[in-house]
Amino acid sequence: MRSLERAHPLCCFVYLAAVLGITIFTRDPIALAESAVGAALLLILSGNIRIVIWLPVVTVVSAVTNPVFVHRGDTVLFFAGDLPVTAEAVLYGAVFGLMISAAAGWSINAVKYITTDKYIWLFGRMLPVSGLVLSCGLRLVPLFIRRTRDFSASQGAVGIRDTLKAFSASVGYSAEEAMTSADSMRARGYGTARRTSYSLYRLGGRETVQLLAVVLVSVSAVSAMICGGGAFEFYPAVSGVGLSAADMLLYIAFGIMCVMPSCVILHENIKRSRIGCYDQGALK
Amino acid sequence: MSIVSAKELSFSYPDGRKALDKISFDIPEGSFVTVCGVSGCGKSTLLRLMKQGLAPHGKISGVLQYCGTDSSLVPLEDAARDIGFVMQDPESQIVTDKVWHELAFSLESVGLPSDEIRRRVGEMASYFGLENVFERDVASLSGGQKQLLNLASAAALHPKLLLLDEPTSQLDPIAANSFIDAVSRLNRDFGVTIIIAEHRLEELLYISDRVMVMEHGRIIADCSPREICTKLPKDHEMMSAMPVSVRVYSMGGGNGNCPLSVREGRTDELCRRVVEGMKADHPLGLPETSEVLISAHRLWVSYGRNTPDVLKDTSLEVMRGRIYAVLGGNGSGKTTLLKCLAGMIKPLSGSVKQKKNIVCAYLPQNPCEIFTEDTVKEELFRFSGWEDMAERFALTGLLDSHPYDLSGGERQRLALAKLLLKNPDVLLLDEPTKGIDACAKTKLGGYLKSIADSGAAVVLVTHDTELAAGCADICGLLFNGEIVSEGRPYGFFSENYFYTTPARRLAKGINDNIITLDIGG
Repeated sequence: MRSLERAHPLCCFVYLAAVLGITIFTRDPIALAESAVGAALLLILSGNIRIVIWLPVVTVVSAVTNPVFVHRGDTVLFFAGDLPVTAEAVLYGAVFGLMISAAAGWSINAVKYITTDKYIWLFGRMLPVSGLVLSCGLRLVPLFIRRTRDFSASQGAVGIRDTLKAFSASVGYSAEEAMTSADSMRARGYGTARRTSYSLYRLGGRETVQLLAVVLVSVSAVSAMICGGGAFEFYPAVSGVGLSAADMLLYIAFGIMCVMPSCVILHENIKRSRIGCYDQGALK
Repeated sequence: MSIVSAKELSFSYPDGRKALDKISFDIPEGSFVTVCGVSGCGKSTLLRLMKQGLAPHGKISGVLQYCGTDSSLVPLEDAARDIGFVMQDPESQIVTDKVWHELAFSLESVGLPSDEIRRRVGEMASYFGLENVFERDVASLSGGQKQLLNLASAAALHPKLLLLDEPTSQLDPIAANSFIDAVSRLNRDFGVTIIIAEHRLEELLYISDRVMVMEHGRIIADCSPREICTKLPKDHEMMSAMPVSVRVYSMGGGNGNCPLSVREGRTDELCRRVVEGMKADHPLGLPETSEVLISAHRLWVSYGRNTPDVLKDTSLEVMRGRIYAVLGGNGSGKTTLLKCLAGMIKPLSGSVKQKKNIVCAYLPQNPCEIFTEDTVKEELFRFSGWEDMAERFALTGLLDSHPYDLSGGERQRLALAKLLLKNPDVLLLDEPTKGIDACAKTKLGGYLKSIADSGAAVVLVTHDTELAAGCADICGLLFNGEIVSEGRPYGFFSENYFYTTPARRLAKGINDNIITLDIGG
């Protein structure tokens, strides 16, 4: 689990961009199913089991509601009043719901694994100051909220029940503190030389291999899409799953891609539990 | 070779206030210098003038040199690298959100390459014992850890001179000691010159080579700590800030090498004689009961499902006319207990019963939390009798100042005045000695006594054993969420071995009647 948390930011961003991009742009049921399963698997392995339940719920809700608004399609299942409910509309709703839930699943995973320091790495790379600004903001916003709450509680205790007063006092106090922070920045040489940006992450041999693997599968999947893979039609009639070379390439490459992070975790879990076995053996 | 020297240095602020008045000194490289004096004596100004980039605006005359160059001509980049500065407030000095990023901040600023930063950050984290928190959010650190992080971040640039402006005034005694230890190691192991301005001198003087006492912008004593008794008059107000051995030595009229630590004081002949001759009578047993204003019965408090309970079965009674001091280490639940009494936190189980129609006033750790207006006068004038109150708390000269521009002691007085204008029956104070100097502390003890004498109940939670010994009627030790011992200060502090006043540690076995030098001494 930890190797994924410590994965290089570049690797994470390329992966996230590719997997989210393909998920959002494709309408192919198989690719979307792969994406949803991959996202769900990673959620389960990261301990977010409760959220996984929502993925099928979203899909079903979408499948049920889409035919209420959309009446296109050749295969009429039944008439509600004088409006047709079509199989195509139901399928499209289900696929659309699958896309939404897969994208949401990947985003929740991203929050867990793409931590703030990875964003700082990315922005710091582009412009050292922007990484710093982000880092300051990430500290100051929660601090300000906490402080306002404290001010409000303390003022409440002396009988001032005016949230606006607490808020403005907290703003004033924060401004005072900001002057100290500015002094502290100046004391530590801020603005004296061209700033560099340091990060805990290092792009070494292992990271390069991981990055290449991610790039390889993403490029294959994306080029398969460009060459016409996964061109699925819903209206007027469902076109059927394509079996061309481009389709196959998309399914295979994207399938591998979606289970990659889960495989990393599983592999590591197995290795770690083996260490546990050795330890118990040593105890005997 | 001297690293900082001043000759006839004067400084006045643009509003005409004179902060430094013709001071001269010469600090050799590698020294450990303690600068002390009451708030507003000019020690912060002096320290800031030494650091290019932090120097205040104003009129300067005379000479201030760093390594032989005029201090204002030192290039900013050199000043950043060579002169480290640590300020008072642990929180607001921190710039970034992660511990590792904070350590790297100064190194990034001067443009070091990544590999060099990686090495130095690693070195600093292990030297200062920050490995365990290295990847954590800064917000999750304790005050002591934050201040250590600020020190480490300054030290990462390998400074030759480290300036510290009251770095431990916001810390509890244990965190303060480990901070001072870290500073003294930097001095001992690497020869970094240390100039530290501080109120808390008990442990600091023993490790300093030199002490400078300032008053009204002048240096009134500049000597080795051992000579302090010969340089500083016996009844000078700064004497109350000195370590207990120095005070006792000075009380006996000592005029030579004075003892600095409790150990030295216990073996010094003069000190022993003075302590033996001290008389004190202490009321024994619990004080007679009076009207109970708040009664907290078997409180359990927790802040969440997965966090440990903060208070476990704590009971306490707040009585009219009594000062109750709750002592205890960090995280023992002192603040939580106080907030429960104030009704700000509802306990999981147990009850807090306030007597009907009583007024409760709560003074938070940071007095600024209860200020809402732009001037001292506006904070007070809505209530009748505010002029008397302003006079009682010596605020008359400060009426037009902004509350945030006041010193720690002045803020405390303003907050007290503001709270007392509502005629509270119960006054609850959270760490009232945080960030105030020894003289302000003595005065605070007096104020609290007069408040209790006028019929209000006072509850204070504090780390400060001297304040509690000096003014409390009852002391309680909160440990692990419950009050483990309770009693009159005399019984309380003479039975405690570690958790007691420096005076008691000095006098133990020599004169068992003494727990403090100020009261009954």
